[in-house]
Parts: sequence; C-alpha cells; structure tokens
Amino acid sequence: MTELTHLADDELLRLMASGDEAAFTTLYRRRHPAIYRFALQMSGSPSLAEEVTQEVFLTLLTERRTYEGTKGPLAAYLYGIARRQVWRRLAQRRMQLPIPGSDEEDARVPESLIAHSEVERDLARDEALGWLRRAVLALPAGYREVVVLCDLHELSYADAARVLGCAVGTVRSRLHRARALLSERLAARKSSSSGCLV
Amino acid sequence: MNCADFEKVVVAMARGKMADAAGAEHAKVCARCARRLANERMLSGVLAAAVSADAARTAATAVEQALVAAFRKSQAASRPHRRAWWAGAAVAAIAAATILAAVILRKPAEQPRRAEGKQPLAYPAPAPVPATVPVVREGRQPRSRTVRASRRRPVTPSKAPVIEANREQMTDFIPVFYDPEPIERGQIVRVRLPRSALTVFGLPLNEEHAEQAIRADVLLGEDGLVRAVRFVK
Repeated sequence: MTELTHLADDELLRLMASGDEAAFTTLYRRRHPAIYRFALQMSGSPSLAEEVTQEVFLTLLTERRTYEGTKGPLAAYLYGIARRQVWRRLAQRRMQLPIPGSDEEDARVPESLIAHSEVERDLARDEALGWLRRAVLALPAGYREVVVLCDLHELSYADAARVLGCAVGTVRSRLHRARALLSERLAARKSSSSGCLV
Repeated sequence: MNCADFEKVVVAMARGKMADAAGAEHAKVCARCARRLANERMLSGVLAAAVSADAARTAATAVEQALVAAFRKSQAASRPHRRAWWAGAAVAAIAAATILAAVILRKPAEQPRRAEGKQPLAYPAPAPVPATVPVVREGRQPRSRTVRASRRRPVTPSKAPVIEANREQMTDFIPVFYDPEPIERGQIVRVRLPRSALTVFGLPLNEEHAEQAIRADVLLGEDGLVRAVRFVK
C-alpha cells in the first residue's frame, strides 16, 4: 500500500481495473475527502455527503471507462460525478434551507462573536464558520458551486469550469457575484456585532 | 483606476491572486472601494478558516468498507464470468461431438434396411482447406460430387438445406486436424457453438458479441470423428 501512494491516479486506475484492491483503496483514500467535503458543503447534510461519496466511487468502479484522462484530471471527473449526484439527491429530498440574514435569529448579534478569551474566540470562530456554511448553502445553485469549488476547494477557474462544464469567464463572473453577496452579508453581521468574526 | 475598474480586480486582490498596485492606490483614496476590499478580505479570511476547519472531515469508515466489499463483489462476479465463457465453449464442443458420435454409431444398424430402398444421402466431403482465414461465400450450394468410386452416383442435397444455404453465408470447411486419408463418406450436422469458437480456428472475433452463439456445420467422418467445421451466418 505504501508503494502505491506514490503512484499517479491514472496508474492506480489501471491497477484497479486489473483487480488490484489495494490500488482502489489507495485511490479512494486519496480522493474521497475532497469529494465528501464538496458534497457536504453543497448540501449541508453529512448523510447525503456519504451517500454521494459512495455513489461516486461506485460509479468509478462500474463506469471507469467513461473517464478519459486526456480530457482532464481524475479529480475533476470525480467532482463532476459528485456534482450531479448532489443535485439529484437534493432534488429528491427537496431540501429547503433558510437564507441567512433573512430571519430574526440570524440578524441578531450573537454575543459569542465578541471574543473575550481563547474559549470565547473559539466559540466565535465556530459561530462564524457555522454562519458561513449556512450562507453558502443559501446561495443560488450556480453561485454556490463556484464558491465551494474555487474558494473552499481552491480549484483554479479552469478546473472549476471543467467540472461545471462552462466557460472560465462564467466561473469568474459567478464567483464575483457570489462573493459580493457573501461579503455584504458578512459586513452586515460584523457591523451589527462590532466584534471579531473569526 | 476608477471604481468600475477596481470592482474588476477586487476579488482577485482579496483572494491573494493578484497584487494590483493601482487597485491598492485607488482604495486609499476611495472610501467605498476601501470598504469593499476590506469586506472581501474579511470574507477570504472566513473562507480560509472554513477550509482549514473542514480539512479533517472525511466520510465514515463504513463507506470505505462498503466500497471495498463492492469492489470484491465486482471482481468475484467477473472471474466466473470469464471462466464460464471458456467452459461454456468447451462444454458445447464436447456435447456436439458426443451427440454426433451417437448419431454415427446408430447408423450401421439402420444401413441394411436402407439398402433395400433408397440409397442413404451422403453429403460430399469438402476439399481440404488450408487453415487460414476463409473466404465467406454467399448462398453457395454444396458441390455435387460422387462419393464412392464404385457407386459413381451424383449426390443431390435435399431441398431444405439448399433453400437454407441460399439464405446463408458460410465459410469454407476448416479442417479440425490433418488426415492424410481423403474422406469418402461423411455427415454434416448443424450445431450452435459459442462465438468464441471462432478464435479457436483463427477467425476474427467481435468482442461485443463474444457471448452469442453462432451456427456451424460439423463434418463427421465415417469413424464419427469431427473432420472439419464451417461457420454459418
């Protein structure tokens, strides 16, 4: 297994196709955290994220011939499967998430956002992260995807465009608008709390 | 730089992807753009915190276990499949040979009765064909040849095979083994074989249809042994 960790994705795929279980496990352990986090950040549901992760790698098992290394890296291929799975499952579950800033509770200034000590700072950080996750989930679908891929997964515009199947310019403009929405809401929270957010 | 130009670069500046001196200068003189840059940078900070906070998040080990089980299952399912492919071909070939041998062994008992009436129909023995890829011919009838020198009687195939042959494409007979003695009498039996049998005779095989059956005419000698095979489409 330790030797396999040095192999590239494509080589692991080749070994996997010939029945090498260790190659499959290595590939899974290398790639699944990003896929799981993507599904989690897109849906906000750990159970859905696990379902999507499992489905993505099952698809890789059964339909790996659909992956063409010349069209892009394996990671982009896996993100693409995960994206379709997330939308399908969200549509099935009809998840409706509250929009941050739209309800009274969200508009209220949490006392814990004002840091007084290390513990409180941690709490404030957790609160801020919780707020951010809700805010990302509340973004329109197209905006949410680019924020998750470009800002939370640090993909380049080109890679994100490959995953989303759109132009690089589209990714750039969507990210610009999405960030504008988020930063406005974040600024509103900060001004109302006058404390540290992170 | 004006505010509109600043708006184009503010996200890249806040994400640390671009160090725009003109943008920074503009933010010093424009309070609105300075606020915009500060908000974007604050958002980048929160997003970076989320990235590090989520870094350790992974799926439960049960997911990996389920996937490994699925991998093993898929491997187990594919192995017998390959075995069955060849085993099926072998079983079919043996079954065909057994049936043909049984048919031939019964022939001598029926022979005397037939001698009083019509002569038994004997299909002509094909000319030996080199074991290369044969030419596929369309609707060719079996050649009419005398079978035994003493009888010198032309052999006419029954109507049904002729009609069928007109609709069929078939290869030449491919000898199964080299026999220096020319065959005098023989019998052709139509069988169905796995398409993989084509490769045994050096014929090209379309992998997509490898599991389908293909019709073949098996030529049996008087001793009941398979002498030649031709494939029929």
